[in-house]
Amino acid sequence: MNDPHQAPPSSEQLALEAQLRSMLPIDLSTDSQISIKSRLERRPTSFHHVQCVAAIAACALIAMSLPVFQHARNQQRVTRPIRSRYSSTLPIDVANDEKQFAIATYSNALAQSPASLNAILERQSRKAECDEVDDSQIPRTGDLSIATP
Amino acid sequence: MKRTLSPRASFVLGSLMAAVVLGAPASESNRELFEPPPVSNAALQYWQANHFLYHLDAAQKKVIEDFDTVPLDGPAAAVIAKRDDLILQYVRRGAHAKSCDWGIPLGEGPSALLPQLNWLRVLCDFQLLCARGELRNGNGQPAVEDILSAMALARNTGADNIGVEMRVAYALENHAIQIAASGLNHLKPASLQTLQSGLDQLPPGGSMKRAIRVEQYLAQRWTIQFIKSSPPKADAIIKTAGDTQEQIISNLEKLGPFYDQLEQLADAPIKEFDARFPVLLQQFKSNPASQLARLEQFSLLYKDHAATDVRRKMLRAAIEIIRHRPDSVKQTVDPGGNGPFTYRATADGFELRSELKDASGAAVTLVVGRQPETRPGK
Repeated sequence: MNDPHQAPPSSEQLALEAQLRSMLPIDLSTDSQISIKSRLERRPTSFHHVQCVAAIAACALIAMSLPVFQHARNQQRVTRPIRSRYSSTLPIDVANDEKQFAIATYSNALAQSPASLNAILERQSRKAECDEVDDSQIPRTGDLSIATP
Repeated sequence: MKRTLSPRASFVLGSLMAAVVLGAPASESNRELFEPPPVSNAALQYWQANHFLYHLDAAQKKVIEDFDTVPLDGPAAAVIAKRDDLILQYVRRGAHAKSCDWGIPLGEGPSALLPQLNWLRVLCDFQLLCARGELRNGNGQPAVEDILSAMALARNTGADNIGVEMRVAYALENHAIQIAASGLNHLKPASLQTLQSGLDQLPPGGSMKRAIRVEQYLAQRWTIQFIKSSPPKADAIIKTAGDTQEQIISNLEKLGPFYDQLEQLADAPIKEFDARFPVLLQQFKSNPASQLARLEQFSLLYKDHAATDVRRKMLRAAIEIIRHRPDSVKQTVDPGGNGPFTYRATADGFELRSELKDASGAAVTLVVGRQPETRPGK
C-alpha cells in the first residue's frame, strides 16, 4: 500500500523503474519489494540454523568421544574381520563345496601323476560297490524249504 | 484402631485354611505319577542287542557258530569275554516281553526279506556258548538264565507265524535244549527248579495253524492279486500253473480245501500226519497250481515242529528223572510212539530216545551229561 506522506516518484525514478521492469522477470511491485525486503530481514534467522546444526554436530563429535561410544566402535573393529573371515568359509552350499573339493582333489592328483588319479577313481568305484545292498544271503518269506542252522 | 475378626468370620477363615491343608495330600494322591511301561515288543530288544554284535569279527562268529563243540579255552574264552552286559540285558528283557512283532511286510509276498533270521542265530548261539562257559565254571544259575533267554529268543523268532521263521525258531530252540541237557545232571536242585519253572513261562512262539494260514495267503491271495495287478510279470507264473490268467486264478482258488484240511492235521500225532498228508497231497496233485504253492513243503515245517515238541517233552522228562528217579521215565509219553521214551544210562549221564525220526532219518534223542557228537536234526 502507498504511503500518503511519501513524495511522488520523480521522472528519473519512474524511468529507472521502467528499465528495471523490462530487465527483470519478476514483478517489482510494491508487494514484491516488501517480500524481498522481508526475505532480506529473515537472513539472520537462516544463519541461526547453520549455527544450530554446527552446534549439534559438535555435540555429536564430543559424544562420540565418550567411553561408551569408544567401546562400541572397538567392538565393531574386532567383530568385523571375524565375521568376514567366517562368512567366506561357512558351508552355505555343501554340495557346491563337495564339488569344489572333488575338483581340487582330481586336479592335485593329475598334477602328481595319472596313477594317483586312477587310485582315487578305483577307491570311489569300490565305495560305490559297497553302497549297493546285497540281499542275496537274506532269507525271504517264501523260503520255507531253507536249510536251518 | 485395632481391627479384630468377628467370631463368624474367624470360623469361615479357619474352615477355609483347614480345607486347603487337608485337601493338599488328597490332590497329591490323585496325581498320576509316571510309571515306565513294561517291554511290549521283544523284537525291538533283540534289534538293540544286535547292534552290539558289531564288534565280532568273522573268526569270532565262526566260534559262535560252533557253540556246542568248540573247546571253551582259547578263542572261545575270548569270545565269551566279549559278551557285553548290554547284550545280556536286551536279550533278557526280550525274553520277558509281552509279545514279539518283527514288522515283516507280508504285503510284499514271498519275497519279503527276513534279515533278522541271520543275526538271531548268532545272538542265540552266543547266549548258549556263554551258558556252556557258566556250566563249566559251576555257575548253574547264570547258565540256566542264559539258556532260558536263548529259548525265549528262539520262540520269539517264529512269533510272526511265517513258516521259514518258525523252522529257524525250532532249530534254535533245539540248540538251547541240547545245551541245557548237556549240563543238566550237574545243576543244583535250585537251578533245576529255576529251569523247570522257567520252561513254563516261555513265550508261546509261532502257531502251526496260523502258519498254515499265512502260507495260504502267500500262495493264494497274494499271488492272485499279483497276477491281476502285474500281468506282464505274471507271465512266468501263468506258464507253470495254467494257460491263461483266469485259469491260473481259478486253479489257485481251488487250493482252498487243501489248507483247510492241513489245518486239521497241524495238531495231529506224527503217525496220523504221516498217514494222511501224502493222501492230501495226492488229491491236489492234478491241480497245476499245487506246484506253484509248493504244498509238499509243509512236511518240513510239520516235522521240525514235531521233533521240537518231542525234545521239549524229553527235557522236562530228564529234569524229572534227575530230580526224582530214573523210574519216572515210565510215566512219560513219547509223542512219536505208543509208550514212554526209552531211557539208557551212559558214562556221563543218560539218554532219552523217541520213536520219532528227525529230518535226517535218525531217532530223536536227548543226550544228558555231555555234548552229542552231532547237532540235533543234522
